[in-house]
Amino acid sequence: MAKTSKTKVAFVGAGYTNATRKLERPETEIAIEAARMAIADAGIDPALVDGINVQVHHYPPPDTPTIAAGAGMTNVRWNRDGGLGILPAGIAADAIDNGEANCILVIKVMNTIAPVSTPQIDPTSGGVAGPTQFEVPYGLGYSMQRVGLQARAYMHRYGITREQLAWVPITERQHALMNPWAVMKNPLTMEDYMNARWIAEPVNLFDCDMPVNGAFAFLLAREDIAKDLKWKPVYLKSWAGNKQNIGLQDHLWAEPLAGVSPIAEEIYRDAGMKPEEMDLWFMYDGFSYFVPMWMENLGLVPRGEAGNYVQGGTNIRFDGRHPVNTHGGQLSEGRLHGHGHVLEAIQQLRGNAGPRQSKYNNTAIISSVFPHTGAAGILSVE
Amino acid sequence: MTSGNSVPNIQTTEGQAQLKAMGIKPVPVPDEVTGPYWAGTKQHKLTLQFCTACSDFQHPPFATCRKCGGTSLEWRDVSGKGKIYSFIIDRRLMTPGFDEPYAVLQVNPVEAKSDTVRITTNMRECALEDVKIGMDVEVVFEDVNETVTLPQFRPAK
Repeated sequence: MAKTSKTKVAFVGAGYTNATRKLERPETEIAIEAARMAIADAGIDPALVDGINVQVHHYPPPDTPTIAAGAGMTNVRWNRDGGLGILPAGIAADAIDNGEANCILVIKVMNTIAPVSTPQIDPTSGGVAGPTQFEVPYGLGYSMQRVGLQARAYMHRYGITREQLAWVPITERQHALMNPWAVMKNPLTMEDYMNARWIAEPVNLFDCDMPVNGAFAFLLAREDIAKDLKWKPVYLKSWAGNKQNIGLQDHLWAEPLAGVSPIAEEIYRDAGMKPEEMDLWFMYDGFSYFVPMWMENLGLVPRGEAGNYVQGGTNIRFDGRHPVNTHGGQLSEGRLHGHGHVLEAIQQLRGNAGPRQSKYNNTAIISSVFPHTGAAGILSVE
Repeated sequence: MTSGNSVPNIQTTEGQAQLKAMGIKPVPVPDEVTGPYWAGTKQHKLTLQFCTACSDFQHPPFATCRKCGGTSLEWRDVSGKGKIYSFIIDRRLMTPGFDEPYAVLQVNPVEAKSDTVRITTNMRECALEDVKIGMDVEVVFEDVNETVTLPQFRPAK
């Protein structure tokens, strides 16, 4: 999606299974269920859905053709698997814009059979090859440890405190209590947060997202198709991902960003919009610290100001001017790997978010994955 | 391994716990890019990649300069003195080869101009509660086995 786009592309369908702490049914079955829900939600003939993207983080993955067949997709002519949240949405939208498909289903299947990251150690020799040879021999092998290093440097640089940033998980929990899909069902207080056990200090239990199992799907279609479907179209105005060849470790030696990130400049330019026009902010929260970092990277708050901005929670609550993660985010709805943010943005922009509905719902900005290496996009009802 | 022994599946939490119980100590596997760094530590020298075009070090080593993309990289010995850029205290991740709690540091060598030059390391000879950002530290070399020596850091003397 860029100035060169020939067509507009919209989100037209959303489908969810329940998010559960354990995998309760075969993953192919839940993927098909979410796919059928998204197609039914759009009110489109599944034979017209001619593209599919499936993303998992475990091996072996479920069979994409089986999922497509189970969803009734008899005319698949586009398939590219992988990517989290706004990234596969953007890739699908570009494919539609290029005429490669008319309507694409994007599904995330979460299966907690495998942790998202583990130290890659040869189980017989203890050898660690490749980029992590400078980390794992020092006991650094998990994402939350890398995030902890980044978070401490970030807070130190700007004088931001944990008491300020605690309002991210606390407010997200308030939102989750209004979201029937969310796995977390009890309130989270400042006292709970400050007394939580450390995982990798400064990262504590409530700074980490909640692993869940389930399948989560959304459907994108070309504008002329979208206009005839059930809901008002939610357009993907622009998106951008980090174009560098990047790895898990890159943020460990990354330059702290001074202004807004290059991908933010790109999405505002391509959408012809400004940061202050973004109503709802869906900030990727695999770890709580990503939320303030993304807000600053995207130019939504000035560099170093996110701590003051989130303090007290009123600025980021569902009834504030720029609600953040009204579904509860991955910290409290569950780890949907960026898909939860996209699905909630669709519901908010349709006006379907129930008790957590924001009255400011013309536009949304979504970020996915690590602030140094992720993707972002802008959604709008126009 | 014989068929009777099961090799831990390192993609799972259980496999990582098995590795830890087996006392497996993770060690670097040098390659064509990283070899000179580990050859240096074996001789108790800290030697880092230096880009002559950018006039600055880079670490971890890479085939090209991450900043300018150039290949005018050479290896230069540094003093082993540095400052703590950031750190974590690992409390419960059950990482193979480590007993919690332990500190993981990122150290900026004093010779580096950019604070993006960060050596990941552990803390030695210092209580965990005394570790601070900006603290002056110096290298100590620990021979792990016959072929591997890991640089570690302690408070500067």
